[in-house]
Amino acid sequence: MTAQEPIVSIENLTVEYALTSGSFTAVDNVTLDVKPGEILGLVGESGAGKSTVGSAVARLIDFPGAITGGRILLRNSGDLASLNETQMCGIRGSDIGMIFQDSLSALFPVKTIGAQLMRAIKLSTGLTGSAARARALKLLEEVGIPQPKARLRQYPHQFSGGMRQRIVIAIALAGDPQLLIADEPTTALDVSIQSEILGLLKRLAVDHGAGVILITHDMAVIEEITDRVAVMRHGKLIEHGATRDVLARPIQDYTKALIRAVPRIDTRMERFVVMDDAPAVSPVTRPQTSHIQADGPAIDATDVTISFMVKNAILPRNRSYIRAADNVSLKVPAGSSVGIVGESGSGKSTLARAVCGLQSIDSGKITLMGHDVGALASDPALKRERVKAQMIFQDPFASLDPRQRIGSALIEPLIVNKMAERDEAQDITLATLKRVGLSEDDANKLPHQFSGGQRQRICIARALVMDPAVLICDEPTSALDVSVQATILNLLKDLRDERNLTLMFISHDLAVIRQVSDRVVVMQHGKVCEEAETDSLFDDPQHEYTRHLMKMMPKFTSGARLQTP
Amino acid sequence: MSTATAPTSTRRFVSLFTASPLALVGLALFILTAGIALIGPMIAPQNPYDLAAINLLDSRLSPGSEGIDGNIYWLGTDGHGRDMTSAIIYGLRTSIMIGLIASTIALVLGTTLGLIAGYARGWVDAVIMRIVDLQLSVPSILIAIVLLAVLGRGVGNIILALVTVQWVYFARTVRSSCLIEREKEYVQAGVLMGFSHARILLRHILPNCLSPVTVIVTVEFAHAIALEATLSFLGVGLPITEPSLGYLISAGFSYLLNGEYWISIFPGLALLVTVLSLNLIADHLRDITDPRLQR
Amino acid sequence: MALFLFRRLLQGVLMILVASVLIFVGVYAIGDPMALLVPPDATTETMEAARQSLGLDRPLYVQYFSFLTNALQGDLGISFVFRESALTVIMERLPATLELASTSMFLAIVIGIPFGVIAGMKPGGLADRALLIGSVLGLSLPTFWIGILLILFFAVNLGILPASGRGDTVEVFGVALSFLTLDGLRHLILPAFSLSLLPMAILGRLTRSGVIEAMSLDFARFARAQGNTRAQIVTRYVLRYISMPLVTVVGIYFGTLIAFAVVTESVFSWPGMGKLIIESINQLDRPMVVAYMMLSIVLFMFINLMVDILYSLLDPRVRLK
Repeated sequence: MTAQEPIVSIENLTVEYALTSGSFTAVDNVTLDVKPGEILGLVGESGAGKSTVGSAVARLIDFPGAITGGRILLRNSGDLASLNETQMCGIRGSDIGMIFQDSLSALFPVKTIGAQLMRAIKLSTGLTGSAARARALKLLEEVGIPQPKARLRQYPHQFSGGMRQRIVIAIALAGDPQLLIADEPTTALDVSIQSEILGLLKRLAVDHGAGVILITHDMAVIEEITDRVAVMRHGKLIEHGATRDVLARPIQDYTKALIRAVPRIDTRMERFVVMDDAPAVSPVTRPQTSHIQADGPAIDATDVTISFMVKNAILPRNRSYIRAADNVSLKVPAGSSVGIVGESGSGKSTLARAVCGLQSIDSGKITLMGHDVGALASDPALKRERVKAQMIFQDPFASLDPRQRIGSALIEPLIVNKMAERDEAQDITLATLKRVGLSEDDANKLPHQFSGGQRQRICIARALVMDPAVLICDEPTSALDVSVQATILNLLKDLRDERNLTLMFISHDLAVIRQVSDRVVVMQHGKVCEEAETDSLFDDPQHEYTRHLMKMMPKFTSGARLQTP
Repeated sequence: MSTATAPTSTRRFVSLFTASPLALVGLALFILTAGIALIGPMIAPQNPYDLAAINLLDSRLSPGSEGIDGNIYWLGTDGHGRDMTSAIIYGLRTSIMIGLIASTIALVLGTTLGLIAGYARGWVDAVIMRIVDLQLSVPSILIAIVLLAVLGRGVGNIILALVTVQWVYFARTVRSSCLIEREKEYVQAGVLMGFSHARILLRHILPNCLSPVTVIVTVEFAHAIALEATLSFLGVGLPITEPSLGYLISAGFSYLLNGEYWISIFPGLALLVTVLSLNLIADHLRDITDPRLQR
Repeated sequence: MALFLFRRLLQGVLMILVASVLIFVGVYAIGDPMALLVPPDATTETMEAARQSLGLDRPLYVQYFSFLTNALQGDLGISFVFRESALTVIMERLPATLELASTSMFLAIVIGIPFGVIAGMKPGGLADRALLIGSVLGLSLPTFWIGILLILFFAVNLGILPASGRGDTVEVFGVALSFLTLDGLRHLILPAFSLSLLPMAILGRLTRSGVIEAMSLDFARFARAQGNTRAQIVTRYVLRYISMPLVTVVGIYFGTLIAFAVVTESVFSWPGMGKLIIESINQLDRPMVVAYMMLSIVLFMFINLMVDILYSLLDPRVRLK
């Protein structure tokens, strides 16, 4: 970058939200600039204030939030922070274009995309009628929408997610703005579409000479297309510089931890290095039963088929079904961990639910520690065996009864299953809470008082009090920030070693799977494509689909150079 | 997380509720009307059912008039010489009692059926929900009028009519909450931890379905009182031997064109205050239980 | 879309059938059928003759079937009081009720919706608070009592508006209408206003919460990011967006107004079918009750179908399925 005049210079920007109890500073004294043709990445975890910076630049902060300090100097327009709403309406769209995460909700559902595009063109350029129509067609072509003429008459819901995001970009470009603000533009998209959209953004930035502020939580996105990166945490700008430099030689500890916490597809790490403010893991406090079984596998699925009706009809021949599992066979030796990977709709979650008896199967057989799953669910004599398989779910917010205190939630299963008297159950509960990194006081709290990561720890604790032999984890970290994900993965690995757990780990993320699994099963459309030892699968994938998945995965390799702190 | 103990949901609820002055006004008005209805016979100057206490010569006296026996009728008298103050107190008693009984039965019935429909799904759900749909497509007042036309007037019949039109609102709300809750992962976790269906349904799902029900029960209580008054006004509700507010208003209506307004207007005012107080409470309950509508 | 509408039509017909069974069982089977079909002053001999000629000794399903075939031919029984076809008597009163209900709905829409938009654009503002208090009053005021208050004030005390009746009417395509004459309008305004308070309150609230919700959605933010002013977002996006739920509510409440006209017509002696049905109930004229119920249900199903059509025209996501 030469010494060009920046498109936008943000100086000492501060945004505060008025709350009933004082005020909350969402953005704290942030200074940044963006030059023409440059993509500035704004990265951070949830609550870092990165999106607020984007909204503040376009002056889209609404009550009770307000810009309480600093200047936003836009080229040829002066300080945006001092303009009134009417003046800002002239800037938005014409000088600043915005791209949102969820294209389905950003586009107006009941108007054609032609009408929406031409409205944006009229607002920013004053063009109407056939001139606006011509420009709309040109924009659609530019963002890569085939047959733009026919597409103009269609409604948003008739497009795929990737196509819709292209339309959002076309609308943002309607006034040929000098600044584009893209807030998590690819987070809602599949990996293969993600790279296309990122490529498009990069090309457009160069072609139009526009500056781009790209807001994301994803280090791989930052590495892939940004020129410079700014790392935010708790509203403050922690570190900023050329992307290559920051990723290779981060100065701040937080940046280092953030980079290291990204799971790597190229190697397996024993533990993630986590920030020192993450809860410390206390030593084992409860003597655990060992689950050393006779030889047989802990999980043994043979020719399992599960189908769902997707279209109901009175006549059976008119009904249509989807196969969530199609002749799946799987053996998991006791004490080992298996990772199941696949895209959405591959049937991996359905299989997990079937293994623990939450989903009935159409044909085949599943045994869990030598017992048939169907018998486990129905035979009262096997009740104590049934609870030896526990599950950790994806959404930590829905996994706990919102009206039940944590202590009660952990004690209840022990009492119901007559596994302990109340006093003993109390002791087990407190010890287990400590083991997962929570305190005894937390037993008196309600779920809403915890963060997502803490809730996931509670769910793990709730599974642990049952003294399980098999732990099934269904995308347990995909709703969590990457640094929290690292601590949860560490905890799961430790527990597996301590308790000799059999682990079944479901994820869409190959890199995460690599970190936790001894063996990996790749699924697509309900079928098993490939099953192999983890290292051999990653180093030498046999199946076409496995290779495709690995090619599409964003690869974040900067962490490699930082492994030894 | 600090070491402070968790605020109980009850305490949080109370502090949220008392934040609205309008809701507190509603609560105060409701306590007032319900209190008057409760202790009615003790404070009423006259027993309006006791023919011996009523003097026909005192009929249609305006508010504040002095009766033959020297007593003052603060709200006037009706066409039979009955003290309006006492008639209103007894009428309020009848109206509130019927509203309370009907909405309580509807609450229990509707919640039970809604919970069953939402948890069992399948044909049980289909049958219950088709009945609900059918009923919701016909205005409730019409169903009540026709039921009473078939069954005839009477306390039991009007309660039956009110329950018939009201249970669907509880059933629909509880079912939709139950459908959402039962898919949540804490329910599946409960299954894996060996909980019985009854335990999951009653200990975990039911409590989480109840916050919208608090709004519905308040609204339907008000609705029951208003509907009973309307039906009694039309002459298809309570028999003349059980004079509720609706009947009093209807009886006074014939005197209205002579300018004798009080026989109709004061019972109506009592009705308005009762229904309004409940609606004010319901409004605020809706605000604090439905985060989407929070201001 | 055609398939969607056909399915809804089929559902409606099914609903009418189920309702007819319920009404038949309720009125003809639970009550004493003889009391319904023969005037109360009939002698024992005529009653016995009637019982046989009407086939009341036949099984219930046969009786229902003949009830249904008659109903399909427009025969819902003979009114005891009017001594003519119950359906004909009701149809004569239907226009008056529809006029009253439509006028009320018109008032509710032109007052309630703009008020709701203004309130929703500035939550917590003066208009918003006025709407919240006004609407809770509108929901709480008993329809019949507010009618009485209006009569007391405008007819008795001020003497500027009539207390009852329909006034002069004009025949348009054979249908008598009040709102085209000054006298008719003077008669119409009080009942229509008293009936409009409930839907006005509901529409006002719904519009308000719809505007508040829609303004917080992503499309409103995206529209702002394109340079639309707040006023443009409301007129071009939000109103269009909330028109879909509003159409549904207007439809539902139009049905409710037709039902609630029973009350208003009784108070204002408005010569519609609502007043008629209350008189019929009090005179034990049960064929009238049956005819009124069946007609109402057909009317409600028709309204529901209209709402479905309008909704699918407004929402391309339904239309293009």
